[in-house]
Amino acid sequence: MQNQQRVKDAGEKYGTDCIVILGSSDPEGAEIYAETVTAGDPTYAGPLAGVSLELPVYHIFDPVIRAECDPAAWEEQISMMEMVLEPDALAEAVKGMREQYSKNVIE
Amino acid sequence: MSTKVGIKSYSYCLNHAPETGSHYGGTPYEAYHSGKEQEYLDALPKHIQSYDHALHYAPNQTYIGGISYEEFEALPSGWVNNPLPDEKSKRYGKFGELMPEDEFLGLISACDEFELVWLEKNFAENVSKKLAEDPVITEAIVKRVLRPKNMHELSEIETEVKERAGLYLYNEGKIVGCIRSGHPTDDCLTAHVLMENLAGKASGVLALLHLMKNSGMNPNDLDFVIECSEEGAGDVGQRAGGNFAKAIAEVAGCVNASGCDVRGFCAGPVNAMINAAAQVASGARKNVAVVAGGSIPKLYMNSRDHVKKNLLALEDCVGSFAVLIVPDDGTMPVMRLDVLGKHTVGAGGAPQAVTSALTFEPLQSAGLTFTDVDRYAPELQNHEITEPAGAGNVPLANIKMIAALAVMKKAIEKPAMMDFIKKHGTIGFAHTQGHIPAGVPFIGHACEMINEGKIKRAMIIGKGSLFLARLTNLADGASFLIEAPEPVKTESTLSKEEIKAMLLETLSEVAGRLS
Amino acid sequence: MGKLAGKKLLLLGERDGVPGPAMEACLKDSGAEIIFSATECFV
Repeated sequence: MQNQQRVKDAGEKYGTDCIVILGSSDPEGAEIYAETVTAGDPTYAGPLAGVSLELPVYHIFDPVIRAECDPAAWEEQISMMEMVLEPDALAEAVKGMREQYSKNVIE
Repeated sequence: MSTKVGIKSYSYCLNHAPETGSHYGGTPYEAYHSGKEQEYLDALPKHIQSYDHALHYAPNQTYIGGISYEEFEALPSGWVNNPLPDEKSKRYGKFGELMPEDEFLGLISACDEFELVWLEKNFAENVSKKLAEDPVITEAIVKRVLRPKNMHELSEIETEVKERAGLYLYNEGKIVGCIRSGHPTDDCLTAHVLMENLAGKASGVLALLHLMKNSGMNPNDLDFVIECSEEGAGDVGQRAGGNFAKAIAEVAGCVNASGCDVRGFCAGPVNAMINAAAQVASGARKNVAVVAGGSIPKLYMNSRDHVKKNLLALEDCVGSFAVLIVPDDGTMPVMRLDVLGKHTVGAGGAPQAVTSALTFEPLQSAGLTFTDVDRYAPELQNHEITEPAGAGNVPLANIKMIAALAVMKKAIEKPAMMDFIKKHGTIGFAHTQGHIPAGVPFIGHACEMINEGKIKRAMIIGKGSLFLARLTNLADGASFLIEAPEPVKTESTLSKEEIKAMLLETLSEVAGRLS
Repeated sequence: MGKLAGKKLLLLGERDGVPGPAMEACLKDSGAEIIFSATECFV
């Protein structure tokens, strides 16, 4: 993960007011990402190895996040990918990790 | 000026490099230096694929043209557990070859001009004999492996590594040579950087040699080379000053060629094809070879996940390709220059904008629609490599993007999406990109299918992640069409006698009127 | 005010999924501050 250090810096500075939003294409990849920014890097390879930031994490396709998006921008930028990817599976994969490890979640 | 050029020939090669990869591939190398992942490093050698297994692996044979694309498409999924029969698992395919690692080290040594590669004497002698059996390796190249300056005792090699920042080369678990540092302080000339660049050069040379063989062209007749890998050769003054193209042409014996490099991450090869075609169509060059070698750092990129899941680590081949562009003569598959996809700065990064710029917009401008393209080749990474690493099936996702856009543009109905994907899509058979990126591995198969009358039109797409270089958040993309040839219209030519007869007839008519 | 008002957003996009800039465009008026937006490529 190329951006672990940036997530770590932001998480340490702002705590769980930081919300991580993922645009991953694959449910398994999304799950690993979600675990990394909550419980810590499961591969122990990056800066978040052994660091539990407990950040609230969502996939962009999670209904909670989608509801906050500008509808016109969504149509233009993301709607096609809803047909391509599996939005429900992606949102669920991240939700599983969020329910286990995240603090300060929004509903 | 013509807007079409002919694709005369193509070559695709793989260099099996598991030992080089497990030491110097980006992921293992980083793990070794971080010192935090000993467990992974200890386990990696147990997950390495043998050369024989690599030969029987269907995606590799598809890449080198050992089997046709249709044969590949018809295979059951789970290629790793379904090896091809021996008769379809040869070293040499229709497009190129899968070279074993010892010979690759020999070829790297042959590509060295600066005493940067030292091979242990016996090893060098043995691989030179093996290389001599390769139908494309010239006598001159074999002789270069045996240059005394490149052959050393093991003790000298050990001293070079220990005292002057060299890096060992391995074969069958033993030290067989080293890459030397090119400069005591210059970060662009460390042994690691030079190894990467020399491997890129050597794999490019192999592809160019196969291209000359496949096309029947005398290397003396090659006019220009455009190299489009993702490597950077330079020094502290200009870290990617160039130029791989000319260095590759030199070893391949193309004495009348010159060359230059084109870059753009995975969009590089498609941009290089457009560049080459434009030069040939305009008459600036008689012919142009587009060539790219592969990348050592991309070897075993996803192996951390393969090891964790107890799978074979399959990212063990340095890939290369070459395509020969010549003027259209009505007999070869053609590349069209009037229908090009261009991802503009203003198009932004939204997948639908990118997909539209690369497919819908050029097709529309040519009066074509989505279903007029028989096969799309946007990305061809082997999903058996990417899926276990949580990166999904990239070719499928990209074909789905095209299908979804076709629905949005009302070219197909939504329920027809899956049919469209199956009929017009392509299944990935290439190693993870960086070696041989995006749609270019399909150029060869597309031309074969056109020549056999199975398809009329294919679209080759390349998308480059420019943001990885931290200069811009933008990505890039380009696309072009390959089509079946049409007979070239020749202007009717009149013989001298015919002209004389016409003149006489006209004159007698005029004379008749005057009288 | 939306649920994201006052929050700090870290957007981690993917080239073959939803890229960072696309998420940014959708969330720039959400009342949250976008701390950073990145796009990754796995191939």
